[in-house]
Amino acid sequence: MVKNCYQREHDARNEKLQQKNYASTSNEGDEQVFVMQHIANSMIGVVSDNNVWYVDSRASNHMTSHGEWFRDTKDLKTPGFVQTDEDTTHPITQIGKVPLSMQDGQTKYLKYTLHVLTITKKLVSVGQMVDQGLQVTLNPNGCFVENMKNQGKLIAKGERNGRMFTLDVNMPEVNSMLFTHGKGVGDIGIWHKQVGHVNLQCLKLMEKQNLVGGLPKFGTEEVMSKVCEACQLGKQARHPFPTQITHVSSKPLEMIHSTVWTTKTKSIGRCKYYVSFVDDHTRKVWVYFMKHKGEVFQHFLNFKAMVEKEKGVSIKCLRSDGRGRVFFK
Amino acid sequence: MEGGEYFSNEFSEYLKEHGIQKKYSCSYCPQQNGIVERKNKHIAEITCAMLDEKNLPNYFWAEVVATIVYIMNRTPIAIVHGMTPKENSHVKNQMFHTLECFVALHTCMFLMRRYQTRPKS
Repeated sequence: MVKNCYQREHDARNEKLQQKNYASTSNEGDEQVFVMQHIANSMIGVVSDNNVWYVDSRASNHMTSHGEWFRDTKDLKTPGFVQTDEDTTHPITQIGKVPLSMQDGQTKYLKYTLHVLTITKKLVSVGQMVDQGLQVTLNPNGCFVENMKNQGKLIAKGERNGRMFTLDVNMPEVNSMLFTHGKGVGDIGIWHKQVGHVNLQCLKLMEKQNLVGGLPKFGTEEVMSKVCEACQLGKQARHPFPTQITHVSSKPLEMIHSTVWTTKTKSIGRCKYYVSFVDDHTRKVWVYFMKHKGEVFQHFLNFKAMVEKEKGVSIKCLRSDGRGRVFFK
Repeated sequence: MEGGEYFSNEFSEYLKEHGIQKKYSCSYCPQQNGIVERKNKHIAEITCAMLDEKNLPNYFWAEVVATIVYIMNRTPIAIVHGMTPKENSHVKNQMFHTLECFVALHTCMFLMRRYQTRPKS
């Protein structure tokens, strides 16, 4: 029913195979024709339920018209077309992979899916799945996709609707996909960031109570082991100003603490700053008023000369503010 | 010369020459320079209180700060075992020169009458 003229598929063998297929199905009687027409009609009709993916043996590629689901998209080098029964062609916009939320909560990707704007149904190509090493079984109970590389592990299953088989999958919420673009929807870190760095336990609670649509299930270990760097940095607080400090120095003038204080209002003597020196041992304070900050050095010289004369010992260490003030002036 | 403060070459060389070790706290972390910043807070608080008490205009801050430092150096502090900074660093058993403090305050009040131009908010 659907034939892809995408360049990649154009080798002779494929074309031959497709023609052969086409011939065999068209000879099979009225019922098959009806099914084909059913899909063909519905392609022109209204958009049906988002979650219905038809398993189609005659589609050469997976395809859908929902561009917002695509990840890792690539543009085609040469324009490609999808050809349907009525010899109408639909242009291929881009090619990429589409995430599907399986019933067990896992996310699987449909690789090499075509984005075709003008079709209304979503098709899963049996041929493409077989190429990937999957086995597709259709029986009266439904449709089963198994991975032959992994001891026949069941990957997806589908229902039988009349004579059509549909895959049993959910599409992730479009909104959630926008921000998880390029990464797994199941990444708890991205959810944590998106919900405003909410507590991971809260996120777990949201998931338990189904408060957020499209929120995947997180394992307890995943929640416990996740550490958000930004949160850790954000929580860090400065140490408070010490309430009680033991003496660093044992004698006067061993250590002098110094800082410059400033105010908006000029004093009567037109001073705007003062520099204070505090002796670590005795806690005596000396204050010098300044018109400019540059006078600090001169005042320090005066201060040093005065105290050293008084005490008979010399200053050993001067402790002052950081370099930030200089850089940002 | 704006912002030279403690980092001018002249200053650094002088300290080096005279064998004075220099210690800088990190930028924008006054907590590391705790002792002097705590003193500054003390001074700033009392400055506000005294200006407010006597309804002095703000440009008297320098006079008030000088007064406060004078008083602080003569007030017993727990960390230096109940001694005043002045007697600890100067002479033992020196009397409090409280009179001088009050003279300073009276000067302030006198100046207040002369200079007050607007009520303090």
